[in-house]
Amino acid sequence: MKNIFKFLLVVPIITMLLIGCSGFLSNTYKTMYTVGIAYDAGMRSIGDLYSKGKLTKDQLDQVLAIASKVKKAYSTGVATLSAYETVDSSENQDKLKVAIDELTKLWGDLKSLLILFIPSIDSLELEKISSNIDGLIIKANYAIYKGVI
Amino acid sequence: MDKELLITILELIAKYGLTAVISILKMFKKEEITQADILALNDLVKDPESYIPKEE
Repeated sequence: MKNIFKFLLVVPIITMLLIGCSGFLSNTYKTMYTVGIAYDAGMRSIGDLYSKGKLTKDQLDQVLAIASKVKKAYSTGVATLSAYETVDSSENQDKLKVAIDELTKLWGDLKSLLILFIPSIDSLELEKISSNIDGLIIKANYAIYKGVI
Repeated sequence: MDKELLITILELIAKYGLTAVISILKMFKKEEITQADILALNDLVKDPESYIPKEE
């Protein structure tokens, strides 16, 4: 499970590496997509931890408070990105930059909180995930070999 | 392939399965972003409360 959380740290790296030299609209979309994926994974894990009693109500409330802000900022980001896609103006671009800055800041806060709660995860789950990864590496290699990816 | 990128992809595979990761990689290959693509982003980020199982 700890390995899963680790990707919350490195998810922005995937964005940086894969974005390349594409345009502002495309870069912003891809950034938002990766933040969305990471948010979803993080919140699913929080739900799992809470249902297993590995997260206190107080910790959960802390996560929910920030997650609500992230959700709101994300919706604003989508709306401003949509407006920019419709009308490519400097005004819309500025609004989008402000929205993305806010989203990035809030996502950073949420990510820090999620990582803070990692130590409550036991080593048994860690081993289970590690063995799953081993199996999936083989499947991923096969998919790449077959040209699926 | 960059080592950190490979680790990230494998971690994503562990969490979402191979099919979902392929869709993420395809997303990165997208050359044209449409209005429908943008609006579909909202589906990724659900209400935080919806991730928490209801207590009985």
